[in-house]
Amino acid sequence: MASVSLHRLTKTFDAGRPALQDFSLDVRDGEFVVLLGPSGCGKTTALRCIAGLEEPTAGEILIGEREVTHVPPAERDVAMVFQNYALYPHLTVHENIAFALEMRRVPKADCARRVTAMAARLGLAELLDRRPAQLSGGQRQRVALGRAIVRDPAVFLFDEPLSNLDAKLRLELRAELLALHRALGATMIYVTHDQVEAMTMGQRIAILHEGRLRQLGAPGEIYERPADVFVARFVGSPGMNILTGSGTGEGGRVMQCGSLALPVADAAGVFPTQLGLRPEHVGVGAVGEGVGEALVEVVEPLGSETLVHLDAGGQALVARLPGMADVRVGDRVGVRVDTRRLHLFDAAGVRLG
Amino acid sequence: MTTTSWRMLAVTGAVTAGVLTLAAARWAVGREQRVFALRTAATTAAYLSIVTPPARGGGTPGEYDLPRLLVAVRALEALSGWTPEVEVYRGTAPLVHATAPPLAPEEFERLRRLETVRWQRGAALAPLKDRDDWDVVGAVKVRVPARAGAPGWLTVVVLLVTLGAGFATVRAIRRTTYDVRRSLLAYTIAALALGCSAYWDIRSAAKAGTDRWLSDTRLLLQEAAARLPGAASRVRLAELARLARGAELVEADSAGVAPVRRTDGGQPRAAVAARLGPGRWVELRTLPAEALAGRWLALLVGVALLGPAATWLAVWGVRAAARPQRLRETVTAWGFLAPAVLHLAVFSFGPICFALYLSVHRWGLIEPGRPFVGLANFTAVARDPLVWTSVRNTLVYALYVPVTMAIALGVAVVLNRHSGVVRLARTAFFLPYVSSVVAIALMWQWMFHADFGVLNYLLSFVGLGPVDWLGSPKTALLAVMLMSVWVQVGYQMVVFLAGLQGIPQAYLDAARVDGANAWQRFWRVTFPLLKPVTLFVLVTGVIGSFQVFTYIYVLTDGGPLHATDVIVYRIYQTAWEFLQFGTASALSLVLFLILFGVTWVQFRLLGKRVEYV
Ligand SMILES: Nc1ncnc2c1ncn2[C@@H]1O[C@H](COP(=O)(O)OP(=O)(O)OP(=O)(O)O)[C@@H](O)[C@H]1O
Ligand SMILES: [Mg+2]
Repeated sequence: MASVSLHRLTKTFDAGRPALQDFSLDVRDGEFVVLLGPSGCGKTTALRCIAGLEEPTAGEILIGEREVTHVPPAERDVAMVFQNYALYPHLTVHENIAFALEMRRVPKADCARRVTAMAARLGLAELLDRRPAQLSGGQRQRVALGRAIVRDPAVFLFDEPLSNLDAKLRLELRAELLALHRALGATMIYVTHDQVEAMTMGQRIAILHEGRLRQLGAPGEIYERPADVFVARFVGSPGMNILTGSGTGEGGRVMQCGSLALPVADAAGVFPTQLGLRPEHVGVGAVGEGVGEALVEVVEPLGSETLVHLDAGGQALVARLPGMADVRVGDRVGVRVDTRRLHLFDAAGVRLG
Repeated sequence: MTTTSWRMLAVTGAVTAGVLTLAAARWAVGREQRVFALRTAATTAAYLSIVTPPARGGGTPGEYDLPRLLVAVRALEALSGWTPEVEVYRGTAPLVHATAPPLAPEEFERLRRLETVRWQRGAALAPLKDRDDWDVVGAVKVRVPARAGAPGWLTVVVLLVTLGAGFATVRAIRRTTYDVRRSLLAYTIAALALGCSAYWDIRSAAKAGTDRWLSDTRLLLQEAAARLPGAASRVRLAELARLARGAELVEADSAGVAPVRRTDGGQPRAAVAARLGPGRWVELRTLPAEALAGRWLALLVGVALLGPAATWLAVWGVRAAARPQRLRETVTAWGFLAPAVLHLAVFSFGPICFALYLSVHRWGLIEPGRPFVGLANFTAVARDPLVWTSVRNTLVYALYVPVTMAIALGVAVVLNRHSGVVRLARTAFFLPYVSSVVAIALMWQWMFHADFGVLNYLLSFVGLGPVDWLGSPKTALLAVMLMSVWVQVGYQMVVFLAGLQGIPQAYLDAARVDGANAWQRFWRVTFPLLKPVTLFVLVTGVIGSFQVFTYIYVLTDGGPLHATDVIVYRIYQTAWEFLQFGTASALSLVLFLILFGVTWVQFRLLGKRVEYV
């Protein structure tokens, strides 16, 4: 068991923009941290740097107390589960799981015992003599897990391990992984671009965008206090509504965003230019009600809730209404807003207050 | 087309194939009998002109003594054992059976003009020349018995069975059950038997024709010897030789009177002994007609198989009608395949079949007869010690392949990255492979040179040599192998590189995280995953090494002392220097079998498939 610290990590590939930039992250011993971000934001790169498969251009990596920035992967005591599992196609399940042990010169008998125990634990006992090509996606996933666990490493790295599975299996394995984390108490770094996965699994979530860390925090904190506009938009489904406008009224205490006039508290003296509003905090009523009126553009009835896309004088926003709401495309409606739940951002998109 | 019309097509095909086979066989049998009649007519004419004395008292020079001619002809008919039905004409008038119709004037004219034995109106007509062998004065006609060409009873039975099998197959074709495989197989076998049986009829007729001609000519020889003036013991063979046109006549010991078959110096022969007088025997030898009947076999079997082919087509048609999509796909697929198939057929299968044919024949460029000799070529190959030397040399030579592979794989691993220098190095390694083989061989000839070669120059620095690389039987093969390694490394390296680049990086990453060092990664991950490529390189390399020729031809000519004599070089020499194409073909078939076996073993040993996930 060990902590992992990344200190101002930068990784630049031959051409172009750095895949990772000044990326710092402290993962505590035994913690489950999720790296979340859109495709191409550098999640895999970060993970590969920790594993030692890529050498960072700048910055340093510590595992436990040890500086490992330039230590080869074999000596880092990390295990990695790859997105496509990377099971050796020419080896049986047994040989796949035993591979790492053999490389570490674990005695044969000991090795066989551990593999068998691992297989029993993951429900692979019947499959030990098969080759990867003869396994289903879920079974391959389990073998990949087994291969990582059997080594008993200090740190586990997962690169989107569930993204190739169907929804039901994903749910199942998610629970299994969490149970495993509890049982092993190991440090785990888990990469995903699926925010549901991130929210349900992570003790803390690190949000990456274009190679930079945008926010690090517990799931609730990320959702409720997004550090910037990107995080606000990225987390939640649909993401947060962001309105732009300018201040009016005495001392700029009202912000005019399109046809909506929103009262804002003066946050720390800096006046916001962007307002964030979660869809569930937006409601509709008769014209004249609320903070202004808007035109209904699209209605998406989802059964338990209805998403209503509104156009408020050029500002687009989404309202999440409970049940099957009675609105039609083309209606003019009044917009009600829970003004206590407004998020304020400055011109650069950084959270105020 | 409907199922019914497909079935009609199959029935038509079956009947046509049967009838055609029979007709072809009949025609061929008739042809053998015509050949016999033509020969007999020519022999008889020659006989008559030898034994008939000239007309007494002037007249036209060369004119025969007619009464004596008549006597000679009559005597022929009385000859015991003489079988042909002969009529002799003086001019156009029949000589023996006066009431027989005369020869048409234009037929006689044609005979006079062409002076060769001809087939006319169902009979063989040979010109009868005068005593001086100058002018055509009459003709000898030999008829073929009326029942000529009737099929043998066995053929008729097989035909009936074949037709029955054909009809049974056609009955089994239905829209719902296509599975006529078993009855189609039976039908095919029956058709094959029909072809063989019809061939046997032809062969028998050919053999019978040769035998009859030998027996008849034997009688004529004896008769001529008896009738010629002077003692029989002094008859000169040259005089009788006119009887034996297209055959050999040699003095011999006494023997039985029945024709015998034997092989003389590889050539099959049919022979019969004739007793010219007391203690005077000659032997009449000729090429047996059945030795040339082999070509009919392919034709007859081919024709007979038309029936099963039509039936198969009908099965296919019915099946395709049930699944039109499939039909379209099949037609399209064949459309795309056609150029390749055509090319293969003309330039690969054709020559292979021809080689097969050659391998069982004695086939020289200049020898006129190219008879069937069975497996004699193969025995000759097996008995030739040089062949064994060449096999051993080829096996030793093939050892260069694994050596090259090891080098090529090593180089490929080193060069498996992207950079300018690496690209340059790759090109450099590949260059020899795309250079002219002869140019390379000549260059190496210089490098190997005992006195001026660069290799010996280098060796002199370490105090070795000089080695007469190509001149010494100890090193010549090694030298050729060295050069082959140099040429092949580039090619194999490129193939290995392609293979290396086809291995997903993820496996190697996984192995690194799993703690494998570079050595372990190579042997435990890369090498096993490269197995299909390795197998490919090995198989193609070994096949190529068994086919080595150009280097040997240019560098050493198989020498010194056959030290570099390899199989293909042996084939080449046998064919083009010794002009024994049959033996050479047999040897190439042996090479084919060796390669087939080697490849099969390699696939069995290494060929378990690796599936990527
Ligand atoms: N080997 C490489 N060479 C050059 N550029 C690379 C390499 N690997 C990644 N990149 C670039 O670095 C950036 C980050 O890539 P990375 O694979 O870390 O993204 P990711 O967050 O894992 O995306 P995804 O969710 O699609 O897996 C991308 O712009 C990518 O094009
Ligand atoms: Mg990735």
